[in-house]
Amino acid sequence: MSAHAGEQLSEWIDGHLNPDAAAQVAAHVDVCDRCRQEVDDLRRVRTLLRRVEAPSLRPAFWARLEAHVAKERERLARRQIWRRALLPAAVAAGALGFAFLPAGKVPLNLDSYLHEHAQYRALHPLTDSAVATLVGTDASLRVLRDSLGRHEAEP
Amino acid sequence: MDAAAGAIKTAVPLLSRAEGVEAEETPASFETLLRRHGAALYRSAYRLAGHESDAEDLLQDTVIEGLRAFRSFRPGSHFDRWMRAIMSHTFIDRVRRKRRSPTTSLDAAERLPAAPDISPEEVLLRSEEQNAVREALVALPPEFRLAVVLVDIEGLAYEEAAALMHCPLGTVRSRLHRGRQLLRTRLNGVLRE
Repeated sequence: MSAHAGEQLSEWIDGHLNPDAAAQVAAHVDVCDRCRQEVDDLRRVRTLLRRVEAPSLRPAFWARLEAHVAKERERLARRQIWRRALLPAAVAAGALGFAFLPAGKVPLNLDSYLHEHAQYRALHPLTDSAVATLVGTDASLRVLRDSLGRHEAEP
Repeated sequence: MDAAAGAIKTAVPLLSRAEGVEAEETPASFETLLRRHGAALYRSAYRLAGHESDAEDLLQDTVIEGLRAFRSFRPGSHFDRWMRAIMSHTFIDRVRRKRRSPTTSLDAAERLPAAPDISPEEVLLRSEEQNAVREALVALPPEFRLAVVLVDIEGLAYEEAAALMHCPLGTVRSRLHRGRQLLRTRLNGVLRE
């Protein structure tokens, strides 16, 4: 190992390297003062970290925390109740709205509809597909009949 | 907590298989489990946050997130580790939020006491060496700090730390090493004593 061991030093002191890699790092550390110093320091850093202590929980904080939890639980329960109550209500309202939709429409005035339709048909006979077909068919038949009649009458 | 939710799903199955920690076999309420593990969770929060008041805020945020997500907790898995996964993400979120808004909010300003909020017990714990280590830890970038705290202080395996941090094993490896190196530089005085 010509270069320094770098990141592998941490893995090595933690025992996370496979045997081959560990043997390589060990051999390097034996001959490299810089890496040996780093290993010593990293081990000491690890020891210092393990000594980091934490104070005990302050009872006043714990009481505050429990009260906070109780409040949040109430809030969640309220939200749950609203959800449970609102969801079926929303579904029911949707269904009702759907059921009443046709009834909500403006009632059809048949007279005015027929009047308007007749007027439109008179003005634009060919735009109404049903009328256009009828006219077209009728016209073709008439042409055919006239032509046949003429042929029949000729002799 | 959206970011945390996905990570917890990933972290929990792996952590549930961890040995040596008593799993919660019978369904217990969130409050019962919290009482059982509160002290240990607070210690983790303190090591991450570095100060009592920050640790309390971190634990409170973690606990509320835990309560909201408790439906996804499976009885039979490890509550303390499940909560630690939430704490890891809450911690990173809090640090990022602080970074984005470095000015103290009015709410925070109202809550902060004029003098440092340190209990007599914490004063005793603040020996010169402990103080130096704690300050060096707090000065680390949060991602490095999390790796160092989880592996070196909490004693988690790399795999467990990766699951909690929701990152690849190689990332834990490099963050841990870089964190330790920064500590080595900052603690040079203590190391040479």
